[in-house]
Amino acid sequence: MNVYRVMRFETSKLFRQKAAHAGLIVVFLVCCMYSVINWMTRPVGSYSGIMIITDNISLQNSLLILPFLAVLIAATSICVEQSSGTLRTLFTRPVKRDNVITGKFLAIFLYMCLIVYGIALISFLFAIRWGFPEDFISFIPRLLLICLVYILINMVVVAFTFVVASQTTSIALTALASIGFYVISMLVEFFSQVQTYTFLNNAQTLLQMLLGGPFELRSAYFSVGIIFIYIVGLLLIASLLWEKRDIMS
Amino acid sequence: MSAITCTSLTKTLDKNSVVDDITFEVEEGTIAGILGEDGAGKTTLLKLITGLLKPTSGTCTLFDADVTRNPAKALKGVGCMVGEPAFYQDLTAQKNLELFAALFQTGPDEVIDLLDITFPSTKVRYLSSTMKKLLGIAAALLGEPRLLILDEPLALTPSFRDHVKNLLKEQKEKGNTVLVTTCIPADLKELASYGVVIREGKPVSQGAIKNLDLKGVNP
Repeated sequence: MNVYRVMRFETSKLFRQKAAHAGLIVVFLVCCMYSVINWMTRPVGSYSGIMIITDNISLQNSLLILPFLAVLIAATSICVEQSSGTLRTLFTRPVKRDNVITGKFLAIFLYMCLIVYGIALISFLFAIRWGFPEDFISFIPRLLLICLVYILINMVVVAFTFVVASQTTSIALTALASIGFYVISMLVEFFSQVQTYTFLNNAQTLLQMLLGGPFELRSAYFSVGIIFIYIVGLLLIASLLWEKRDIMS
Repeated sequence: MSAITCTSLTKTLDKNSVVDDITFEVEEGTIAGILGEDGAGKTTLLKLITGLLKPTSGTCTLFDADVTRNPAKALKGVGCMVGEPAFYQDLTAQKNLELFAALFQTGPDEVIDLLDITFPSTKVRYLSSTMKKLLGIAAALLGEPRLLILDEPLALTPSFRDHVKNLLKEQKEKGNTVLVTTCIPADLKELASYGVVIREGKPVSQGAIKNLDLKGVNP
């Protein structure tokens, strides 16, 4: 069974989960609240429509709402399935374990796309009040890429969650370790000796370029490369650990 | 040709041998059974056969494909129900079957009819253990497997036992192979042509059913 079939299996399951629905509601409520507060406190002309969209996504990431949601969904899809036995049911089908891990990862990627692009769409509707600059149409591809960078940041955390979940069935331990990984990555970013190789610093570099800073193609490739190395590396480790793991429950 | 070949299969957990040096073969197109009391190691043995557990030593092949080396390849054409059937609690029986059927690019209607499942729109969390077991057998039958590995498929209420027994016999008549576990010797005698009796993870008797030594196993 190929990755595509497993991804479809995981996606149709994920989008029926109550936790996934609750996550969508929380994120969109926070998005609406932030937009309404801005509506009430910032008169027309004092704010840019583009800013409300990027600020809204950035705020949800800074408040750890997006990383926490990504970790919760990822930890649920492994730990809860393991303790309930549904992972055992899946592993007794003719499907490779690394395909299961990749399928789950892609399903969560689609879910995070829905979340982040959903925030962008809701913010866009509110942002009409403040209006957009004349070159907004040409900025849309950049805006979509900005959303993608935020999604990739969270997908690194998801891949790390899969590594932790291969060693424990405790959802609390997995979630704590994964959020801890994200917080430590934020702290490490402040150390100039290693910041070049942290995924968060490279994501920030990309965001600054996309928001209108000086664009250097080489630097952009480097940053994208580092983020993908994190994702692929962590997924490989997770797949290797899962391959060797006994399914006891 | 052998459908299942286990050679010196051993599994040690925390220095205890839960499966100890089990060797047997199941011929294609037959029903074989593993008999043992609760805690004898039947489910652990099935987990080893289906690749859920990695053996400490020994090998297991399904139709010549090594389960330990490549479980996905070995499990092609194999339908399994190992341990208590586990499904997504918030989804209905039908939705669960649809999900797993989609993996085989098929639908669940055929197995629903085959198992006479009368509760397709009930959420799994509200199903009784017999209903879950029937659902587990139905899920194992998805994709028309040529080898069925079922853990205690007859641990059902009496009205369903005969139905499942007939279904297993039909599978044999179709030329498919069936491996079941049970703790009731009479079930093994009625269904299987080959059996392995295990106690505390060790094989105590094995061979053709008529020659099997059932001493020490509760009738």
